Amino acid sequence: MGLLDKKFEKGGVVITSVENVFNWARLSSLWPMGFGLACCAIEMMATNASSYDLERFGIFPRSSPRQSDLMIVAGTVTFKMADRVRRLYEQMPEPRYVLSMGSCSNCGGPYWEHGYHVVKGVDRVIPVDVYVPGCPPRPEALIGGLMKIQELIRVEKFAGSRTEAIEQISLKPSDPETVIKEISASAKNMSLSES
Amino acid sequence: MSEENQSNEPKKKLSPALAARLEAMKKKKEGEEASGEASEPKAKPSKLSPALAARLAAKKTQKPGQETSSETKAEEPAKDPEPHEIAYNIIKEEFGDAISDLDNNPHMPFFEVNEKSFWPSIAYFMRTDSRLKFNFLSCLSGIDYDDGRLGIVCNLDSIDEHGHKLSVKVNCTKEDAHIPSVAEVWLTADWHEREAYDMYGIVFDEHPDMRRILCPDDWEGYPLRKDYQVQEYYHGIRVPY
Repeated sequence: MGLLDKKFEKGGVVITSVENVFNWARLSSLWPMGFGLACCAIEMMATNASSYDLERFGIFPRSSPRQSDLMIVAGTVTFKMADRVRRLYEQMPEPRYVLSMGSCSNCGGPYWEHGYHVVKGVDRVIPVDVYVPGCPPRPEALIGGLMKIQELIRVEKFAGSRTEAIEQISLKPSDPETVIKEISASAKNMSLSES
Repeated sequence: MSEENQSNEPKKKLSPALAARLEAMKKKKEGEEASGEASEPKAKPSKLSPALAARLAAKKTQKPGQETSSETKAEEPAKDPEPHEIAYNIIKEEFGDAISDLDNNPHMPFFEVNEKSFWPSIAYFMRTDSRLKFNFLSCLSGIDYDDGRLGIVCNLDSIDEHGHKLSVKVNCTKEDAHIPSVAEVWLTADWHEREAYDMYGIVFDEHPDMRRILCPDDWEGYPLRKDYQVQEYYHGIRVPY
């Protein structure tokens, strides 16, 4: 958005759409539900803790589904838990987002064949917006997933549907190779300008 | 020479202990023993288990190297009975054909209970008898032998008492998957038996709370049975991959 990056130069007036302000506000204070199901939850906790500091994104876990915008399904979803996951999801107010973290909740992970007790993907229970691969994903990967959710919120239209927003994102696919090159180039520039 | 001497004052008299050891070996060979003679005197609370006393005596004999040396030489070909062998003999003596022979493998010596209705009384005897004192049930596992039999394996220890360990196997058929519960004898067995029920469908009769412990109550089938097939749907969620 860059609302705050740009200086209020002329008379302190900013003209933008309500949609932009709303989306900016929503994506800047994503409150996930504080719950973890397995080892992925450990990585999620590490992401919340000081080294990775999710709060700089305005993300910090809430203890109630009624105060949450985002559900991070961090870990193995068993059939016994699936009912509870669904109920928690239903208790969240709309608009709500779901991030599936790790192989288990993406597709059953290592339990895909012989794990009779594991749901083969949490998307069989609730709709998922972003999948983060990994077993478990590193905090960087989780942050990447959360930024994807922010991206999704940013392009959402007031009267549009979620699927439209997802389509819009998929229209501009980003090649990871070029992104890495861009970032490393900009990092080099920064270090050059500093010295 | 009575067994009392051996257990109460093993330091002074060496030969009685040795004699007891010989006796135990004879029992093993012949399988013929007077139950009263062995159980009565030892029922009195003695700190030393027969095996321990025999070992202590053996150590002592080596040091002085007195007139007993000829005896020790004669024994050498035969092995000292291990503590669990002695424990097994005591149980065999009490229950006879209700239990099988000892499978004396080096990893997990065990015997099987032939008549499963005897299992709680065997368990109670193993727990309470002063010579056995199997006061700790390390684990109770279920097994599907894949030949129509199901079973449990109980790993028992005597912690802080005699230090010996022994395992017991109890089997049942798939058609009549019932085994009497020993939750009254070892409280540990309560949840272990519930787990065996959950995974293998073995019903433990007289169990205080025979419910599934891990799977949901409305789960179909017993997941660790060899012929288990997952159900197609659970609460509207497709189960297979």
